[in-house]
Amino acid sequence: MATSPLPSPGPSAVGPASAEDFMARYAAGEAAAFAPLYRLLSPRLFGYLLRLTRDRHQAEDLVQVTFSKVHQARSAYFTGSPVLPWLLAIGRRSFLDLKRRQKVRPEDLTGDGSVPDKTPELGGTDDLARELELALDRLPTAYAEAIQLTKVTGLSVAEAAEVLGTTQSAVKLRVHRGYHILRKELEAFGRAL
Amino acid sequence: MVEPSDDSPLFRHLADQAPVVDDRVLRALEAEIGAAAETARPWSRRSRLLTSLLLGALALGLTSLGAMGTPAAPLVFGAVLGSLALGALVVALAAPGGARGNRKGRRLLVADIVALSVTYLAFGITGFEPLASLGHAEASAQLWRCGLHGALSGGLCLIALLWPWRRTDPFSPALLGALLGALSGLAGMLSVDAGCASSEGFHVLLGHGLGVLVLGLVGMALGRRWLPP
Repeated sequence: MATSPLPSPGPSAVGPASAEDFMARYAAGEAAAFAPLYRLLSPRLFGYLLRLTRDRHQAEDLVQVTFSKVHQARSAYFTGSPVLPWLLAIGRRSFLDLKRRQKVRPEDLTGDGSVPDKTPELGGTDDLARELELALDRLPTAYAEAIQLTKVTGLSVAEAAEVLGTTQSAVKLRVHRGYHILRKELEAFGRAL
Repeated sequence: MVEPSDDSPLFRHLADQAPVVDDRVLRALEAEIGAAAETARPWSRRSRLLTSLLLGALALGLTSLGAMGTPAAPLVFGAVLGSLALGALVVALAAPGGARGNRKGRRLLVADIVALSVTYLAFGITGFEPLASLGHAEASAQLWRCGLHGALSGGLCLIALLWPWRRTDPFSPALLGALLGALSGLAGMLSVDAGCASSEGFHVLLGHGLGVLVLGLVGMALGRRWLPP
């Protein structure tokens, strides 16, 4: 799977500092600002959606849906406010909508009529990343999501709480519990967290 | 408790391995956006706010005509228009995307609702007659009349506060919708109160007050549907 180096996670001002600038220009009607905005934010959005869907094609579809919604809602953007939490919240909502629709729709079957294999598709390319991905994948979704947002995507606890629609204490608790399980899982691979 | 700010090199490594989305997605988006740009023109925040205020004032004006000339009318109109304007401002300042002030905005709305309720109770409690009852037929007819009046008045206010703000809040649309619904219900209740002389307990609770709860629930449903981008 293709990968791209990203700025290290930390306070969301690190990577998307210029994303706010691109978004403000795009909201003001500068169409040329869309492509750099997309290139800057899509890897993090895609990584998050891949964690939620475990399916590359679905995650790509959701990236498209999310950016399409960003386009429709661009006039509602507050100049200078963080774009990444806003984008991730839209992406998460799109994922939940998709899940709701899939609940009322019969499972798509493969050509021979069998249920498709849902082996998770993960982002890491080397052994270390794959082991961490597998360990994260075994966590309860709420824990994995909180860890993904705060540790990998680089949101602050307050931003992650807004995206998840919960309190900061709940996010901290999920990260703490997830961290605890993750440490045990990684010990099986002979790694320390 | 492990602080989420404690970075492990493993997570840093994973972030560096972030997957790239296929370029076809960007090309599809550019084609889609290019086609949409010719037909759709986004609303500015100012036009949303003005539409909200105009619709809210119109809704209350239309549904409160019956209360014109009563002694309480100016006070009621002042309270209702003030709280609706605050509601619209909160939506304008807090709901749009990317804003970090969402939580503050919601707290402001809750404070507005509580203040209105306490003021209403403080003024209404002296004339409240929990045990009085109207004649059965008269009570039933008046209950329906006040209930419909409150639902219409509050419902129009709710539409004024929600409809212009479609696709602006991905964070907590249901909660924001519920709060705006409760605020609209209170506005409707006050406009009914100004035109209804009854202070009978059962009538006031059902005919005037039930709208707050109902519109709160309706606001939650509409918020979930209309507010997310």
